Amino acid sequence: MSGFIKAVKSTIDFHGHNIGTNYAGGSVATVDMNTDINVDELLASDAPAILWELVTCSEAPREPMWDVSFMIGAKTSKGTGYARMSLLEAVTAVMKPGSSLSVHDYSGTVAGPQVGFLSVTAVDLDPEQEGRFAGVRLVAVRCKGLSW
Amino acid sequence: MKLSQANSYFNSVHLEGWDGAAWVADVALGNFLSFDRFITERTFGQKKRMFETGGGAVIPDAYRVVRTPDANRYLVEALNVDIRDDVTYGRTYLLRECGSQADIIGFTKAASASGIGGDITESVLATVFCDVERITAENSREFDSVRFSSHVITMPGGTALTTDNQLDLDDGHRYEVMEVNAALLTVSVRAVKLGAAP
Repeated sequence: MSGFIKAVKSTIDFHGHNIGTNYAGGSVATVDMNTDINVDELLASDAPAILWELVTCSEAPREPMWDVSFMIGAKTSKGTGYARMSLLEAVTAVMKPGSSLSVHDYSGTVAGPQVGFLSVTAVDLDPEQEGRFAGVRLVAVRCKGLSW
Repeated sequence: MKLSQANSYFNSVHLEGWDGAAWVADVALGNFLSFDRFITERTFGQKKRMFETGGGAVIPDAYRVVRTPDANRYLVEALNVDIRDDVTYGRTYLLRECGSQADIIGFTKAASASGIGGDITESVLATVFCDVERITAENSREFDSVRFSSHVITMPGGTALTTDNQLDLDDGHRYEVMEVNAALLTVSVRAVKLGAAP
């Protein structure tokens, strides 16, 4: 179990960052919602962004098998809902049921060796967010994981 | 007699200017006046002063904090000019006492293979003189029983900071920057004190 949760978190960071920076419509900002450093200006602006948050990561029932869930999606304060859908499609192109994400520890300056993988089992488009997170639409991703 | 000469007649107070690192002597000569003599707790009467200069004399833009000979510090808050026959014959500056000091804290993340950065380090980006006023308590949007102490912190014009910064004040507390806007010649910051009140 040692280090696997951190590796899962940094793997999601890696994919979230890549989806944002490699977006075909032009690179967009990326926000890891598990940290609140240097995100206030971005969240308050009308700049589009890819956002994500690791929700759960638990042994199921015991290591090396895991249940992992996370939220990942798009914020577009300007533009139509279709612009948001385009960003979401960039997300779901990577996170789709049946796809496999190899887990590495990306938290250091150099990516670590593969320490497991996540198999995406379900991808659900959640309702539009309201209030403080108006303009944000997230996809709930559930995975089965295996560590070694 | 020219108006500017009359206006300059009472100019006898020399101001020192803060250049960001040290006090520079004699940056302006003028007439230093109380803004009002009201005995009140309001900033209006207690922290504000006027400084009048004659002719073409100015407080140079490079000095947004000045000091009177009694060593009190003031922010240059606003400027009004007096014009007659298309000639500016006098300037009236509004000064605001700034007895506090703030370190502007910025955050950087170490490079990481994930691309979004790893460990966070904080650093002091700048230190500025400022005026601090508590305005109200605000209820937490997340926890019903928690209230935050909200302040308006007035800084010299041109001070660079955003809501991604925090402030370390000389009262020993850390403040979260909630809003930044330019107000006349100053920068006005709404900030919330972090942590429990002493």
